[in-house]
Amino acid sequence: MSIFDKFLRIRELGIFSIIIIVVITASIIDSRFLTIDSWRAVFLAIPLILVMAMGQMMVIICRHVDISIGSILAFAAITIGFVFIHYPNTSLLMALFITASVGTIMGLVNGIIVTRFNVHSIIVTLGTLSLYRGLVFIVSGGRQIDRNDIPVHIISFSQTSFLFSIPAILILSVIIVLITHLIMRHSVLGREIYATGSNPEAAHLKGINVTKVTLFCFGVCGMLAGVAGLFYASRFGYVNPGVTGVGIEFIVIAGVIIGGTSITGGSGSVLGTFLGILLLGIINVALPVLNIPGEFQKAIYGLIIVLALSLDQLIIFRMKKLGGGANA
Amino acid sequence: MIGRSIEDIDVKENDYLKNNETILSVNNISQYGNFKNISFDLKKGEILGFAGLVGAGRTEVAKTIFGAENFDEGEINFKGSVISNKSPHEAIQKGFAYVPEDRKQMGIFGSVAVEDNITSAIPSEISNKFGLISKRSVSTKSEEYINKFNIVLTSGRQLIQELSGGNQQKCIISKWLLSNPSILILDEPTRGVDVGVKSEMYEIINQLAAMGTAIILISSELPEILSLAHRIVVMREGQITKILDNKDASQETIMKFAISA
Repeated sequence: MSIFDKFLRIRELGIFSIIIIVVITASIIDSRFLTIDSWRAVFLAIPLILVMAMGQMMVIICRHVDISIGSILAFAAITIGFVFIHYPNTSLLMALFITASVGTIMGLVNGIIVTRFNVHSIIVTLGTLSLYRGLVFIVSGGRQIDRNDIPVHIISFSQTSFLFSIPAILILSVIIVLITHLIMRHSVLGREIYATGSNPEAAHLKGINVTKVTLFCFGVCGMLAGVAGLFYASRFGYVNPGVTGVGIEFIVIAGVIIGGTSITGGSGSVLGTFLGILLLGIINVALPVLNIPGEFQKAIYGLIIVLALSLDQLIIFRMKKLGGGANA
Repeated sequence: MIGRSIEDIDVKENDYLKNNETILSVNNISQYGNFKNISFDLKKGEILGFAGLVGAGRTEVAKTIFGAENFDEGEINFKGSVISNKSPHEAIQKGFAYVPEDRKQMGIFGSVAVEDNITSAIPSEISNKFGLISKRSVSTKSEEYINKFNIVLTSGRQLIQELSGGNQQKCIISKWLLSNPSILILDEPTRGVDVGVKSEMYEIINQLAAMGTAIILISSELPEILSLAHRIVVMREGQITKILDNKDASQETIMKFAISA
Protein backbone atom coordinates (compact mmCIF):
# COMPACT_ATOMS: atom_id res chain seq x y z
CA MET A 1 0.00 0.00 0.00
CA SER A 2 1.59 3.29 -1.09
CA ILE A 3 1.61 6.33 1.15
CA PHE A 4 -0.93 7.98 -1.14
CA ASP A 5 -3.23 4.97 -0.84
CA LYS A 6 -2.91 5.02 2.91
CA PHE A 7 -3.70 8.73 2.93
CA LEU A 8 -6.86 8.11 0.92
CA ARG A 9 -8.01 5.57 3.46
CA ILE A 10 -7.90 7.91 6.44
CA ARG A 11 -11.42 8.16 7.78
CA GLU A 12 -11.07 11.85 8.61
CA LEU A 13 -10.18 12.79 5.02
CA GLY A 14 -13.80 13.55 4.13
CA ILE A 15 -14.37 16.09 6.85
CA PHE A 16 -10.94 17.59 6.21
CA SER A 17 -11.76 18.19 2.54
CA ILE A 18 -15.02 19.84 3.54
CA ILE A 19 -13.16 22.23 5.84
CA ILE A 20 -10.80 23.14 2.98
CA ILE A 21 -13.76 23.72 0.65
CA VAL A 22 -15.53 25.98 3.16
CA VAL A 23 -12.36 27.99 3.87
CA ILE A 24 -11.55 28.46 0.18
CA THR A 25 -15.13 29.44 -0.69
CA ALA A 26 -15.29 31.91 2.19
CA SER A 27 -11.94 33.43 1.24
CA ILE A 28 -12.96 33.86 -2.39
CA ILE A 29 -16.16 35.65 -1.39
CA ASP A 30 -14.37 37.88 1.09
CA SER A 31 -10.62 37.84 1.55
CA ARG A 32 -11.05 39.30 5.05
CA PHE A 33 -11.80 35.76 6.17
CA LEU A 34 -8.17 34.80 5.79
CA THR A 35 -6.93 37.35 8.33
CA ILE A 36 -5.37 36.33 11.62
CA ASP A 37 -8.28 37.98 13.43
CA SER A 38 -10.95 35.67 12.10
CA TRP A 39 -8.84 32.60 12.86
CA ARG A 40 -8.27 33.96 16.33
CA ALA A 41 -12.02 34.22 16.64
CA VAL A 42 -12.41 30.60 15.53
CA PHE A 43 -9.90 29.30 18.01
CA LEU A 44 -11.33 31.36 20.85
CA ALA A 45 -14.83 30.12 20.11
CA ILE A 46 -14.11 26.39 20.00
CA PRO A 47 -12.46 25.46 23.35
CA LEU A 48 -15.80 25.40 25.15
CA ILE A 49 -17.46 23.17 22.56
CA LEU A 50 -14.33 21.11 21.97
CA VAL A 51 -13.93 20.12 25.60
CA MET A 52 -17.58 19.09 25.86
CA ALA A 53 -17.31 17.20 22.58
CA MET A 54 -14.52 15.00 23.96
CA GLY A 55 -16.80 13.71 26.70
CA GLN A 56 -19.81 13.44 24.42
CA MET A 57 -17.73 11.49 21.91
CA MET A 58 -16.84 8.90 24.57
CA VAL A 59 -20.49 8.51 25.51
CA ILE A 60 -21.57 8.19 21.86
CA ILE A 61 -18.82 5.64 21.11
CA CYS A 62 -20.14 3.73 24.12
CA ARG A 63 -23.55 3.58 22.38
CA HIS A 64 -25.23 6.21 24.50
CA VAL A 65 -25.87 9.92 24.25
CA ASP A 66 -25.93 12.62 26.90
CA ILE A 67 -28.21 15.54 26.09
CA SER A 68 -28.12 16.98 29.59
CA ILE A 69 -24.65 18.52 29.17
CA GLY A 70 -26.01 22.03 28.56
CA SER A 71 -27.70 21.97 31.95
CA ILE A 72 -24.65 20.43 33.62
CA LEU A 73 -22.60 23.28 32.16
CA ALA A 74 -25.09 25.82 33.53
CA PHE A 75 -25.19 24.21 36.96
CA ALA A 76 -21.40 24.08 37.24
CA ALA A 77 -21.18 27.69 36.02
CA ILE A 78 -23.78 28.96 38.47
CA THR A 79 -22.14 27.02 41.33
CA ILE A 80 -18.74 28.45 40.60
CA GLY A 81 -20.34 31.90 40.20
CA PHE A 82 -21.70 31.74 43.74
CA VAL A 83 -18.35 30.48 45.00
CA PHE A 84 -16.75 33.54 43.41
CA ILE A 85 -19.29 35.88 45.04
CA HIS A 86 -18.45 34.52 48.48
CA TYR A 87 -14.77 33.74 47.95
CA PRO A 88 -13.41 36.04 45.21
CA ASN A 89 -9.88 34.75 45.85
CA THR A 90 -10.66 31.20 44.71
CA SER A 91 -7.75 30.13 42.51
CA LEU A 92 -8.20 28.93 38.95
CA LEU A 93 -7.09 25.43 39.92
CA MET A 94 -9.60 25.29 42.75
CA ALA A 95 -12.32 26.57 40.42
CA LEU A 96 -11.44 23.87 37.89
CA PHE A 97 -11.61 21.26 40.62
CA ILE A 98 -15.01 22.45 41.85
CA THR A 99 -16.62 22.60 38.40
CA ALA A 100 -15.11 19.24 37.41
CA SER A 101 -16.45 17.60 40.59
CA VAL A 102 -19.93 19.07 40.18
CA GLY A 103 -19.99 17.91 36.57
CA THR A 104 -18.69 14.44 37.41
CA ILE A 105 -21.40 13.88 40.00
CA MET A 106 -24.15 14.94 37.58
CA GLY A 107 -22.68 12.82 34.81
CA LEU A 108 -22.46 9.81 37.12
CA VAL A 109 -26.09 10.27 38.15
CA ASN A 110 -27.00 9.97 34.45
CA GLY A 111 -24.77 6.94 34.11
CA ILE A 112 -26.12 5.21 37.21
CA ILE A 113 -29.74 5.61 36.09
CA VAL A 114 -28.85 4.33 32.62
CA THR A 115 -26.94 1.26 33.84
CA ARG A 116 -28.86 0.45 37.02
CA PHE A 117 -32.38 0.79 35.72
CA ASN A 118 -31.62 -0.01 32.10
CA VAL A 119 -33.41 3.05 30.76
CA HIS A 120 -32.33 4.38 27.38
CA SER A 121 -29.86 7.23 27.76
CA ILE A 122 -31.86 9.59 25.52
CA ILE A 123 -34.82 9.36 27.89
CA VAL A 124 -32.72 9.59 31.04
CA THR A 125 -30.74 12.61 29.92
CA LEU A 126 -33.82 14.27 28.45
CA GLY A 127 -35.21 14.07 31.96
CA THR A 128 -32.06 15.27 33.68
CA LEU A 129 -31.76 18.06 31.09
CA SER A 130 -34.85 19.61 32.70
CA LEU A 131 -34.00 18.41 36.19
CA TYR A 132 -30.54 19.98 36.21
CA ARG A 133 -31.85 23.17 34.59
CA GLY A 134 -34.47 23.31 37.32
CA LEU A 135 -31.72 22.94 39.94
CA VAL A 136 -29.92 25.87 38.35
CA PHE A 137 -32.98 28.09 38.92
CA ILE A 138 -33.49 26.78 42.45
CA VAL A 139 -29.86 27.25 43.49
CA SER A 140 -29.53 30.68 41.90
CA GLY A 141 -33.00 31.91 42.84
CA GLY A 142 -33.21 33.14 39.25
CA ARG A 143 -30.33 35.53 39.85
CA GLN A 144 -27.71 36.13 37.16
CA ILE A 145 -23.97 36.08 37.90
CA ASP A 146 -22.59 39.36 36.55
CA ARG A 147 -19.29 40.46 35.18
CA ASN A 148 -18.22 42.10 38.45
CA ASP A 149 -18.97 38.89 40.38
CA ILE A 150 -16.31 37.02 38.44
CA PRO A 151 -12.74 37.73 39.57
CA VAL A 152 -10.21 39.23 37.14
CA HIS A 153 -7.87 36.25 37.17
CA ILE A 154 -10.71 34.00 35.97
CA ILE A 155 -11.65 36.39 33.15
CA SER A 156 -8.02 36.64 32.06
CA PHE A 157 -7.87 32.83 31.85
CA SER A 158 -9.65 33.07 28.52
CA GLN A 159 -8.95 36.67 27.47
CA THR A 160 -5.27 37.43 27.92
CA SER A 161 -2.32 35.72 26.38
CA PHE A 162 -0.59 33.01 28.34
CA LEU A 163 2.05 31.81 25.92
CA PHE A 164 2.86 33.30 22.47
CA SER A 165 -0.40 35.28 22.61
CA ILE A 166 -2.36 32.05 23.10
CA PRO A 167 -4.77 32.23 26.03
CA ALA A 168 -4.55 29.53 28.72
CA ILE A 169 -8.07 28.30 27.96
CA LEU A 170 -6.93 27.08 24.54
CA ILE A 171 -3.83 25.39 25.93
CA LEU A 172 -5.90 23.59 28.57
CA SER A 173 -8.35 22.42 25.91
CA VAL A 174 -5.52 21.07 23.78
CA ILE A 175 -4.19 19.15 26.80
CA ILE A 176 -7.65 17.68 27.43
CA VAL A 177 -7.91 16.68 23.77
CA LEU A 178 -4.49 15.00 23.86
CA ILE A 179 -5.30 13.07 27.02
CA THR A 180 -8.57 11.91 25.48
CA HIS A 181 -6.67 10.77 22.41
CA LEU A 182 -4.22 8.85 24.59
CA ILE A 183 -7.05 7.11 26.43
CA MET A 184 -9.11 6.28 23.35
CA ARG A 185 -6.34 5.14 21.03
CA HIS A 186 -3.57 3.82 23.22
CA SER A 187 -5.06 2.43 26.40
CA VAL A 188 -6.82 -0.74 27.40
CA LEU A 189 -9.66 1.33 28.80
CA GLY A 190 -10.13 3.02 25.43
CA ARG A 191 -10.41 -0.33 23.70
CA GLU A 192 -12.94 -1.46 26.25
CA ILE A 193 -15.00 1.63 25.42
CA TYR A 194 -14.90 0.83 21.69
CA ALA A 195 -15.66 -2.84 22.41
CA THR A 196 -18.61 -1.98 24.65
CA GLY A 197 -20.05 0.37 22.05
CA SER A 198 -19.46 -2.04 19.21
CA ASN A 199 -21.13 -5.01 20.90
CA PRO A 200 -22.13 -4.76 24.57
CA GLU A 201 -23.11 -8.42 24.83
CA ALA A 202 -19.84 -9.66 23.37
CA ALA A 203 -17.99 -7.24 25.63
CA HIS A 204 -19.71 -8.75 28.67
CA LEU A 205 -18.93 -12.30 27.52
CA LYS A 206 -15.32 -11.24 27.03
CA GLY A 207 -15.01 -10.19 30.65
CA ILE A 208 -15.39 -6.42 30.25
CA ASN A 209 -17.30 -4.75 33.05
CA VAL A 210 -19.77 -2.97 30.77
CA THR A 211 -21.37 -1.06 33.66
CA LYS A 212 -18.05 0.36 34.80
CA VAL A 213 -17.07 1.39 31.29
CA THR A 214 -20.43 3.10 30.73
CA LEU A 215 -20.21 4.89 34.07
CA PHE A 216 -16.71 6.07 33.21
CA CYS A 217 -17.91 7.59 29.93
CA PHE A 218 -20.84 9.40 31.55
CA GLY A 219 -18.61 10.56 34.40
CA VAL A 220 -16.01 12.02 32.04
CA CYS A 221 -18.72 13.59 29.89
CA GLY A 222 -20.21 15.29 32.96
CA MET A 223 -16.80 16.33 34.22
CA LEU A 224 -15.89 18.02 30.94
CA ALA A 225 -19.30 19.70 30.76
CA GLY A 226 -18.60 21.03 34.27
CA VAL A 227 -15.20 22.32 33.21
CA ALA A 228 -16.90 23.94 30.21
CA GLY A 229 -19.07 25.76 32.77
CA LEU A 230 -15.96 27.49 34.11
CA PHE A 231 -14.86 28.23 30.55
CA TYR A 232 -18.24 29.84 29.94
CA ALA A 233 -18.05 32.04 33.03
CA SER A 234 -14.52 33.06 32.11
CA ARG A 235 -15.18 33.76 28.45
CA PHE A 236 -18.58 35.45 28.54
CA GLY A 237 -18.25 37.05 31.95
CA TYR A 238 -21.80 36.25 33.04
CA VAL A 239 -23.92 33.24 33.86
CA ASN A 240 -27.65 33.45 33.27
CA PRO A 241 -29.79 30.60 34.62
CA GLY A 242 -32.17 30.76 31.66
CA VAL A 243 -29.66 31.26 28.85
CA THR A 244 -26.32 29.67 29.72
CA GLY A 245 -25.77 26.40 27.91
CA VAL A 246 -29.26 26.18 26.41
CA GLY A 247 -29.12 24.26 23.12
CA ILE A 248 -25.36 23.76 23.33
CA GLU A 249 -25.81 19.97 23.43
CA PHE A 250 -27.02 20.00 19.86
CA ILE A 251 -23.96 21.87 18.62
CA VAL A 252 -21.72 19.43 20.50
CA ILE A 253 -23.53 16.32 19.25
CA ALA A 254 -23.60 17.71 15.69
CA GLY A 255 -19.85 18.32 15.85
CA VAL A 256 -19.16 14.80 17.12
CA ILE A 257 -21.33 13.21 14.43
CA ILE A 258 -19.90 15.38 11.64
CA GLY A 259 -16.50 14.26 12.87
CA GLY A 260 -17.36 10.71 11.86
CA THR A 261 -18.40 9.17 15.17
CA SER A 262 -21.03 6.56 14.49
CA ILE A 263 -24.28 7.25 16.35
CA THR A 264 -24.69 3.47 16.73
CA GLY A 265 -21.47 3.32 18.75
CA GLY A 266 -18.16 1.56 18.42
CA SER A 267 -16.36 3.94 16.10
CA GLY A 268 -15.12 7.49 16.07
CA SER A 269 -11.90 9.34 16.74
CA VAL A 270 -10.58 12.34 18.60
CA LEU A 271 -9.08 13.79 15.41
CA GLY A 272 -12.43 13.49 13.62
CA THR A 273 -14.29 15.12 16.49
CA PHE A 274 -11.75 17.93 16.57
CA LEU A 275 -12.21 18.53 12.83
CA GLY A 276 -16.00 18.39 13.21
CA ILE A 277 -15.93 21.06 15.92
CA LEU A 278 -13.40 23.09 13.91
CA LEU A 279 -15.75 23.05 10.91
CA LEU A 280 -18.65 24.32 13.01
CA GLY A 281 -16.39 27.03 14.47
CA ILE A 282 -15.25 28.14 11.02
CA ILE A 283 -18.80 28.31 9.68
CA ASN A 284 -19.89 30.28 12.73
CA VAL A 285 -17.16 32.87 12.24
CA ALA A 286 -17.43 32.92 8.45
CA LEU A 287 -21.15 33.72 8.27
CA PRO A 288 -20.97 37.20 9.86
CA VAL A 289 -17.70 38.01 8.05
CA LEU A 290 -19.41 37.24 4.75
CA ASN A 291 -22.13 39.80 5.53
CA ILE A 292 -24.87 37.22 5.54
CA PRO A 293 -27.95 38.82 7.10
CA GLY A 294 -28.68 37.70 10.63
CA GLU A 295 -31.99 36.04 9.85
CA PHE A 296 -30.36 33.78 7.27
CA GLN A 297 -27.39 32.72 9.38
CA LYS A 298 -29.08 30.02 11.41
CA ALA A 299 -30.65 28.41 8.34
CA ILE A 300 -27.40 28.49 6.40
CA TYR A 301 -25.53 27.09 9.40
CA GLY A 302 -27.91 24.14 9.50
CA LEU A 303 -27.81 23.72 5.74
CA ILE A 304 -24.01 23.47 5.75
CA ILE A 305 -24.16 20.84 8.52
CA VAL A 306 -26.57 18.71 6.48
CA LEU A 307 -24.45 19.15 3.34
CA ALA A 308 -21.28 18.26 5.24
CA LEU A 309 -22.82 15.07 6.62
CA SER A 310 -24.05 13.97 3.19
CA LEU A 311 -20.76 14.80 1.51
CA ASP A 312 -18.84 12.92 4.19
CA GLN A 313 -20.98 9.81 3.69
CA LEU A 314 -20.47 10.11 -0.08
CA ILE A 315 -16.71 10.27 0.34
CA ILE A 316 -16.72 7.20 2.62
CA PHE A 317 -18.83 5.33 0.09
CA ARG A 318 -16.39 6.24 -2.69
CA MET A 319 -13.43 5.18 -0.58
CA LYS A 320 -15.04 1.83 0.16
CA LYS A 321 -15.54 1.31 -3.57
CA LEU A 322 -11.88 2.11 -4.02
CA GLY A 323 -11.27 -1.09 -2.09
CA GLY A 324 -10.22 -2.22 1.33
CA GLY A 325 -12.47 0.10 3.25
CA ALA A 326 -11.61 3.00 5.48
CA ASN A 327 -9.18 2.64 8.32
CA ALA A 328 -10.67 2.61 11.76
CA MET B 1 -13.53 -29.91 -3.27
CA ILE B 2 -11.19 -29.34 -0.34
CA GLY B 3 -8.91 -32.24 -1.11
CA ARG B 4 -10.41 -34.73 1.31
CA SER B 5 -13.66 -35.69 2.88
CA ILE B 6 -14.52 -34.33 6.30
CA GLU B 7 -16.02 -37.68 7.24
CA ASP B 8 -12.48 -39.09 7.35
CA ILE B 9 -11.72 -37.45 10.64
CA ASP B 10 -11.98 -39.88 13.52
CA VAL B 11 -11.95 -39.33 17.23
CA LYS B 12 -8.36 -38.85 18.31
CA GLU B 13 -7.04 -40.30 21.52
CA ASN B 14 -4.33 -38.35 23.30
CA ASP B 15 -1.86 -38.78 26.15
CA TYR B 16 -3.68 -36.50 28.55
CA LEU B 17 -6.82 -38.62 28.35
CA LYS B 18 -4.94 -41.66 29.62
CA ASN B 19 -4.03 -39.76 32.81
CA ASN B 20 -7.74 -39.48 33.52
CA GLU B 21 -7.32 -36.18 35.33
CA THR B 22 -10.67 -34.53 36.06
CA ILE B 23 -10.45 -30.74 35.76
CA LEU B 24 -14.09 -29.74 36.04
CA SER B 25 -16.84 -31.56 37.78
CA VAL B 26 -20.37 -30.24 37.72
CA ASN B 27 -22.69 -31.60 40.43
CA ASN B 28 -26.44 -31.32 40.17
CA ILE B 29 -26.63 -27.72 39.09
CA SER B 30 -30.06 -26.31 38.33
CA GLN B 31 -31.36 -23.06 36.96
CA TYR B 32 -35.08 -22.73 37.51
CA GLY B 33 -36.99 -22.81 34.27
CA ASN B 34 -34.00 -23.67 32.10
CA PHE B 35 -32.24 -26.82 33.31
CA LYS B 36 -32.04 -29.07 36.35
CA ASN B 37 -29.76 -31.65 37.95
CA ILE B 38 -26.96 -31.30 35.48
CA SER B 39 -23.93 -33.43 36.48
CA PHE B 40 -20.90 -34.34 34.45
CA ASP B 41 -17.10 -34.55 34.68
CA LEU B 42 -14.63 -33.09 32.25
CA LYS B 43 -11.09 -34.42 31.94
CA LYS B 44 -7.94 -32.79 30.71
CA GLY B 45 -7.53 -33.38 27.00
CA GLU B 46 -11.11 -34.48 26.61
CA ILE B 47 -13.61 -33.26 24.07
CA LEU B 48 -17.03 -33.54 25.65
CA GLY B 49 -19.82 -33.24 23.12
CA PHE B 50 -23.21 -31.79 24.04
CA ALA B 51 -25.95 -33.04 21.78
CA GLY B 52 -29.65 -32.36 21.88
CA LEU B 53 -32.36 -30.42 20.17
CA VAL B 54 -32.25 -26.64 20.04
CA GLY B 55 -33.80 -25.39 23.29
CA ALA B 56 -32.65 -28.39 25.33
CA GLY B 57 -30.71 -26.01 27.61
CA ARG B 58 -27.19 -26.68 26.37
CA THR B 59 -26.26 -23.03 25.82
CA GLU B 60 -27.68 -22.07 29.22
CA VAL B 61 -25.52 -24.70 30.93
CA ALA B 62 -22.45 -23.46 29.06
CA LYS B 63 -23.15 -19.83 29.91
CA THR B 64 -23.71 -20.76 33.56
CA ILE B 65 -20.37 -22.54 33.81
CA PHE B 66 -18.79 -19.45 32.23
CA GLY B 67 -20.40 -17.15 34.78
CA ALA B 68 -22.58 -15.27 32.32
CA GLU B 69 -25.69 -16.66 34.02
CA ASN B 70 -26.36 -17.72 37.62
CA PHE B 71 -27.47 -21.11 38.87
CA ASP B 72 -29.84 -21.78 41.75
CA GLU B 73 -28.68 -25.14 43.09
CA GLY B 74 -25.72 -27.46 42.96
CA GLU B 75 -21.98 -26.85 42.81
CA ILE B 76 -19.15 -26.67 40.34
CA ASN B 77 -15.70 -28.07 41.18
CA PHE B 78 -12.74 -26.77 39.26
CA LYS B 79 -9.31 -28.33 39.83
CA GLY B 80 -10.53 -29.79 43.11
CA SER B 81 -12.12 -26.73 44.69
CA VAL B 82 -15.67 -25.41 44.63
CA ILE B 83 -16.00 -22.30 42.51
CA SER B 84 -18.79 -19.95 41.59
CA ASN B 85 -18.13 -17.68 38.66
CA LYS B 86 -20.06 -14.49 39.33
CA SER B 87 -19.09 -12.92 36.01
CA PRO B 88 -17.31 -13.87 32.80
CA HIS B 89 -14.42 -11.76 34.03
CA GLU B 90 -13.88 -14.11 37.00
CA ALA B 91 -14.18 -17.17 34.80
CA ILE B 92 -11.61 -15.83 32.34
CA GLN B 93 -9.17 -15.21 35.19
CA LYS B 94 -9.47 -18.89 36.14
CA GLY B 95 -8.80 -20.05 32.59
CA PHE B 96 -12.26 -20.49 31.10
CA ALA B 97 -13.06 -19.43 27.56
CA TYR B 98 -16.40 -19.31 25.78
CA VAL B 99 -16.98 -19.06 22.04
CA PRO B 100 -20.67 -18.09 21.80
CA GLU B 101 -23.11 -19.56 19.31
CA ASP B 102 -24.23 -16.27 17.82
CA ARG B 103 -21.09 -14.81 16.35
CA LYS B 104 -22.48 -11.48 15.28
CA GLN B 105 -24.54 -10.88 18.40
CA MET B 106 -22.12 -12.10 21.03
CA GLY B 107 -18.72 -12.75 19.53
CA ILE B 108 -17.23 -9.97 17.48
CA PHE B 109 -16.72 -6.25 17.84
CA GLY B 110 -17.73 -5.48 14.25
CA SER B 111 -16.56 -1.89 14.02
CA VAL B 112 -13.17 -2.70 15.53
CA ALA B 113 -10.03 -3.84 13.69
CA VAL B 114 -9.20 -7.55 13.35
CA GLU B 115 -5.98 -7.19 15.38
CA ASP B 116 -7.80 -5.50 18.23
CA ASN B 117 -10.50 -8.16 18.21
CA ILE B 118 -7.97 -10.98 18.39
CA THR B 119 -6.02 -9.42 21.24
CA SER B 120 -9.05 -8.22 23.17
CA ALA B 121 -9.05 -11.07 25.71
CA ILE B 122 -5.49 -10.47 26.88
CA PRO B 123 -5.37 -6.77 27.82
CA SER B 124 -2.60 -7.26 30.36
CA GLU B 125 -0.25 -8.87 27.86
CA ILE B 126 -0.39 -6.07 25.31
CA SER B 127 -0.12 -3.11 27.64
CA ASN B 128 2.34 -1.68 30.13
CA LYS B 129 1.67 -0.95 33.77
CA PHE B 130 -0.01 2.37 32.91
CA GLY B 131 -2.57 0.59 30.75
CA LEU B 132 -1.06 1.94 27.55
CA ILE B 133 -1.10 -0.44 24.61
CA SER B 134 1.96 -1.51 22.66
CA LYS B 135 0.99 -1.55 18.97
CA ARG B 136 3.87 -3.88 18.23
CA SER B 137 2.78 -6.64 20.58
CA VAL B 138 -0.79 -6.30 19.27
CA SER B 139 0.35 -6.98 15.73
CA THR B 140 2.90 -9.69 16.53
CA LYS B 141 0.48 -11.58 18.74
CA SER B 142 -2.39 -11.38 16.28
CA GLU B 143 -0.18 -12.11 13.27
CA GLU B 144 0.87 -15.40 14.84
CA TYR B 145 -2.70 -16.65 14.74
CA ILE B 146 -3.60 -14.97 11.45
CA ASN B 147 -0.83 -17.04 9.86
CA LYS B 148 -1.47 -20.18 11.88
CA PHE B 149 -5.16 -20.31 10.97
CA ASN B 150 -4.83 -18.87 7.47
CA ILE B 151 -7.20 -16.02 8.23
CA VAL B 152 -7.84 -14.29 4.91
CA LEU B 153 -7.64 -10.49 5.15
CA THR B 154 -5.96 -7.48 3.56
CA SER B 155 -4.41 -6.11 6.75
CA GLY B 156 -4.65 -6.54 10.49
CA ARG B 157 -6.23 -3.09 10.67
CA GLN B 158 -9.18 -4.19 8.54
CA LEU B 159 -12.52 -4.12 10.33
CA ILE B 160 -13.62 -7.60 11.39
CA GLN B 161 -17.13 -7.08 10.01
CA GLU B 162 -15.66 -7.06 6.51
CA LEU B 163 -14.37 -10.65 6.85
CA SER B 164 -16.31 -13.77 5.89
CA GLY B 165 -18.11 -15.74 8.59
CA GLY B 166 -15.50 -18.49 8.70
CA ASN B 167 -12.67 -16.02 9.05
CA GLN B 168 -14.54 -14.15 11.76
CA GLN B 169 -14.99 -17.42 13.62
CA LYS B 170 -11.27 -18.16 13.33
CA CYS B 171 -10.57 -14.72 14.80
CA ILE B 172 -12.84 -15.42 17.77
CA ILE B 173 -11.16 -18.75 18.41
CA SER B 174 -7.72 -17.12 18.08
CA LYS B 175 -8.80 -14.55 20.63
CA TRP B 176 -9.52 -17.23 23.20
CA LEU B 177 -6.51 -19.36 22.38
CA LEU B 178 -4.27 -16.35 23.06
CA SER B 179 -5.55 -16.44 26.63
CA ASN B 180 -4.36 -20.08 27.01
CA PRO B 181 -7.59 -21.44 28.45
CA SER B 182 -7.67 -24.68 30.41
CA ILE B 183 -11.37 -25.08 29.65
CA LEU B 184 -12.69 -24.07 26.25
CA ILE B 185 -16.42 -23.99 25.64
CA LEU B 186 -17.38 -24.01 21.98
CA ASP B 187 -21.02 -23.28 21.26
CA GLU B 188 -21.92 -24.27 17.70
CA PRO B 189 -18.44 -23.32 16.44
CA THR B 190 -19.04 -24.33 12.85
CA ARG B 191 -22.48 -22.87 12.24
CA GLY B 192 -22.54 -20.81 9.07
CA VAL B 193 -18.96 -21.70 8.21
CA ASP B 194 -17.92 -23.23 4.87
CA VAL B 195 -16.73 -26.80 4.50
CA GLY B 196 -13.05 -25.97 4.13
CA VAL B 197 -12.93 -23.88 7.28
CA LYS B 198 -14.95 -26.55 9.07
CA SER B 199 -12.32 -29.22 8.59
CA GLU B 200 -9.59 -26.75 9.54
CA MET B 201 -11.50 -26.08 12.71
CA TYR B 202 -11.83 -29.78 13.52
CA GLU B 203 -8.09 -30.04 13.26
CA ILE B 204 -7.62 -27.09 15.61
CA ILE B 205 -10.01 -28.61 18.14
CA ASN B 206 -8.17 -31.94 18.07
CA GLN B 207 -4.80 -30.21 18.42
CA LEU B 208 -6.04 -28.28 21.42
CA ALA B 209 -7.26 -31.41 23.12
CA ALA B 210 -3.92 -33.04 22.44
CA MET B 211 -2.26 -30.14 24.25
CA GLY B 212 -4.37 -30.86 27.33
CA THR B 213 -7.20 -28.35 26.95
CA ALA B 214 -10.54 -29.62 28.20
CA ILE B 215 -13.17 -28.82 25.61
CA ILE B 216 -16.94 -28.64 25.82
CA LEU B 217 -18.35 -28.84 22.31
CA ILE B 218 -21.98 -27.94 21.82
CA SER B 219 -23.19 -28.83 18.38
CA SER B 220 -26.40 -29.65 16.59
CA GLU B 221 -24.57 -31.42 13.83
CA LEU B 222 -24.38 -35.05 14.85
CA PRO B 223 -21.61 -36.09 12.41
CA GLU B 224 -19.48 -33.31 13.85
CA ILE B 225 -20.01 -34.49 17.43
CA LEU B 226 -19.48 -38.12 16.47
CA SER B 227 -16.20 -37.40 14.73
CA LEU B 228 -14.78 -35.18 17.49
CA ALA B 229 -16.16 -35.92 20.94
CA HIS B 230 -14.75 -38.60 23.23
CA ARG B 231 -17.95 -38.70 25.23
CA ILE B 232 -21.34 -37.29 24.35
CA VAL B 233 -23.77 -35.72 26.78
CA VAL B 234 -27.31 -35.86 25.44
CA MET B 235 -29.78 -33.32 26.79
CA ARG B 236 -33.52 -33.10 26.53
CA GLU B 237 -35.76 -30.39 27.96
CA GLY B 238 -33.20 -29.11 30.43
CA GLN B 239 -32.03 -32.50 31.71
CA ILE B 240 -29.25 -34.90 30.85
CA THR B 241 -30.83 -38.05 29.48
CA LYS B 242 -27.64 -39.99 28.75
CA ILE B 243 -23.86 -39.74 28.65
CA LEU B 244 -22.56 -41.95 25.86
CA ASP B 245 -19.05 -43.11 25.08
CA ASN B 246 -18.13 -42.37 21.51
CA LYS B 247 -17.84 -46.07 20.64
CA ASP B 248 -21.42 -46.70 21.77
CA ALA B 249 -22.82 -43.67 20.04
CA SER B 250 -24.44 -43.34 16.66
CA GLN B 251 -26.77 -40.77 15.19
CA GLU B 252 -29.69 -43.07 15.97
CA THR B 253 -28.82 -43.59 19.65
CA ILE B 254 -28.18 -39.89 20.18
CA MET B 255 -31.50 -38.94 18.58
CA LYS B 256 -33.26 -41.57 20.65
CA PHE B 257 -32.09 -39.96 23.89
CA ALA B 258 -32.54 -36.42 22.55
CA ILE B 259 -36.19 -36.96 21.69
CA SER B 260 -37.47 -39.38 24.35
CA ALA B 261 -35.86 -40.76 27.46
